[in-house]
Amino acid sequence: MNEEYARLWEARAGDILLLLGNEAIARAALEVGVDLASTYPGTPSSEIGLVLDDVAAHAGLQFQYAVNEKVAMEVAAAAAIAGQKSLVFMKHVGLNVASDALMTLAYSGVRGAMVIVTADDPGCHSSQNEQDNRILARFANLPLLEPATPQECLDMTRFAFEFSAFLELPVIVRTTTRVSHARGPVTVGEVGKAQGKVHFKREPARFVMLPANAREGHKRVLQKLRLAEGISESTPFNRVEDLPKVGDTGLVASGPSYTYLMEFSDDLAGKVLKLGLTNPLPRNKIVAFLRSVKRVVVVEELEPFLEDGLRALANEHGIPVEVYGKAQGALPRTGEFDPDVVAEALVRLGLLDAKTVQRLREAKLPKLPARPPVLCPGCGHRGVAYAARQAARRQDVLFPVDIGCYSLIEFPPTNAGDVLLCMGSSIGMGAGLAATTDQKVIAFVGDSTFFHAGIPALMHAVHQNVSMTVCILDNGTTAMTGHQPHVGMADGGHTAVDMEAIVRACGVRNVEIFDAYDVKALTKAFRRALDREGVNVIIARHLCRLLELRDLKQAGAQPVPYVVEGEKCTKCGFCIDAFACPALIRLPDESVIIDPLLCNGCGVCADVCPPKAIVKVSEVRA
Amino acid sequence: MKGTSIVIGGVGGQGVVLTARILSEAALAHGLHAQMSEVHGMSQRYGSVVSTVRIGNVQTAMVKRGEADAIVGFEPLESVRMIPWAARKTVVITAMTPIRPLLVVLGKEAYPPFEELHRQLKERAGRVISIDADRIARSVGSEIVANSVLLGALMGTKVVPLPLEAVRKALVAHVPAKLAAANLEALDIGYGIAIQDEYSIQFA
Repeated sequence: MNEEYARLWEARAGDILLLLGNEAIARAALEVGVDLASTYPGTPSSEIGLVLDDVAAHAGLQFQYAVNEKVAMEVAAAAAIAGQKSLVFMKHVGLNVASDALMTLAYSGVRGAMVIVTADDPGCHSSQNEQDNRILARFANLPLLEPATPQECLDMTRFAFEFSAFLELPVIVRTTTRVSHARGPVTVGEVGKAQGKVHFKREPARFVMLPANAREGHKRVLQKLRLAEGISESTPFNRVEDLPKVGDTGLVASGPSYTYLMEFSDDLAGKVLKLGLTNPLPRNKIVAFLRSVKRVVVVEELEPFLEDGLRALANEHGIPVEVYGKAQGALPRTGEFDPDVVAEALVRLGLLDAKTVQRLREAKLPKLPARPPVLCPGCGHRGVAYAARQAARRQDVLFPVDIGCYSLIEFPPTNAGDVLLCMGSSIGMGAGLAATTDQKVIAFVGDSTFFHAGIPALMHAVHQNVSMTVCILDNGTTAMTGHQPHVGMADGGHTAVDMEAIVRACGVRNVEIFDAYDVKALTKAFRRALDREGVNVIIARHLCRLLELRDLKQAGAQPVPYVVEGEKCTKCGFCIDAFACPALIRLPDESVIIDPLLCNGCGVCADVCPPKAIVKVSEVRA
Repeated sequence: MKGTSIVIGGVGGQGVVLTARILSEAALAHGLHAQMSEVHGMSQRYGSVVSTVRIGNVQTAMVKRGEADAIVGFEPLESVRMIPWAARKTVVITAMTPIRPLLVVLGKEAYPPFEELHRQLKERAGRVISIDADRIARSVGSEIVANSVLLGALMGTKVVPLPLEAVRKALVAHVPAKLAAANLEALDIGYGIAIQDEYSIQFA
């Protein structure tokens, strides 16, 4: 067990640990004795899995990295319908993938307990959108909790399991990046025990969603939601707090926005309605709150989820209260909140003194060169993108790209990215572009992403007889989210799914496999593929260099760095202008050197260098 | 809301989050309330990384602009990028070794000279301590311990309401055993630099 997670697992009731929100959720699952946990990795939810995967054997729980979020949802749903306690967690967009299962699961409900964690990402720290999944909870008619702190992540997840068992419905816990990845003191409880295998008791009227059963299921979920509303009225997660100063303003907040608001509690007047269980809303509590104030300000990130509910209630009950939120632009509907965003809004509304934000208004950032993330030194993706770019010279080639570290090949110098939507979209959109434009297409997709959502699109491309090239960047892991395994890997006694066999079985005739470091062969392969009819698949395979370095280190070895033989360097700059590994450094006289501390020894630059001036350190002639 | 706010920033892979973690764990072990924000996922790949730490009875780990008590930058450009959190009361501790962003490497943007970056920091913050942390780290055995030089300097400014000993303990618990001695030495050197710096300010 990882030392850190061992500490988390071994902590006793009452211990205070400095935990991430995600770690607190994992601890809560262990405390309720979760039987099964499943996920597809995605930031900002990934650390829940890193903990549970690590301690699974000790806790007697089954942990499964699923091929995608829909399968993770189905596995967890089955466990909970059979009578176990299950946890499924994913990033916000993962719930889109799983939503087909989710919408109908709400009708059938569960018999054990099931908690669904959706980790939303306001501000798109590591995501392609900033959708607000509270709306999906309302859409599915499922109860929803919004923790504000790591401690609440633990408390609310524990409660969500009890709530789910009581209602026989899945319960959703929605976090945001600033609570998933906030670390704070958490007082833990006692670890529980998983129950192990159960026996499935058949009840087809409830669990087989044929139309007749589904019609009943829809009624059933709405009945349960009314039951849930009673809990929403009485839970301490929904509470009114008086501010130190008396006033006729009501402030409503959920999630981390509540903590930002309370940073200013000493200077604010009135009272605060802190909402934690936000679907179904505690209507009576809200109506009483609205009646007790003249104006209400709703502080919530992204969509006006609470605000719309409050407006409807004020209207329904004829309460003459002014409601401020997103509607008139008092608070932004896009981007992430922080205490400054909240302060600015409160100042604009006249609820805070302008001097509160004076420092903020004076704070100006000078214009500086940006520092976007880049591929690591030694990363195989860099060479593959370079090879594709070289092969595509003097041709108009479109590069659909996909979700993973390799989305960074869109940046200079390769600029190999023209469209990107979601997991697997490179192949589906590539097929669409190939069918409708006069340009050629090379689509890039990672190994885990290919298994997740690329296979149906590949079959479609073959079936439609489009001409395109799909390059699978196979680095043997799910790298960006923290090196989780995928179905193509045999780690820990799992059966590895054969990628090449799948590609061939999809009907692809031209399949070629290369080492991702072999840029010469890859350049030729891309050239051949661009001239060929039909769907070509090029698998560029090389284990993620970070894992290779870890293995080397464990074996007591070190990578051998490369060096530029000064007298051979023609100062052409091609290695930097076309390849741009962070270890390559251009000196003021335009010659290039390699930073020995950054070089991970992949040696690809030696093949890129036109005058062949780059060699392994061990091969330098004295 | 009172409390001590520290903003730590650098380039992904430099150990920003680990340093913030050591500080937060030290505070918690010392009986103080501590919270911090972390960065995971794509930004870790050599992008700009910021982690905030707040010690004391506060609501959130997020630091308001212009309200950092201290800013610690592991790379000079990244130190300047944290300027919005600085005010006259702020102490800035910055490393001096530049790491050039991609567009600078490609010659599309220029990396400002250190003197210019230092001037921008001085313009905003009450006190700026520039430390050649890499050189000091090399002198005690490994560039890997440069973070500890800067963490030591932070402790030497006395901005953080913790004894150095609490940070020493947390540091040893969070770095590989074979690097513990070098890290502690680096911490002490950084601490000494900040003390001397204050001495020279008072008597200048």
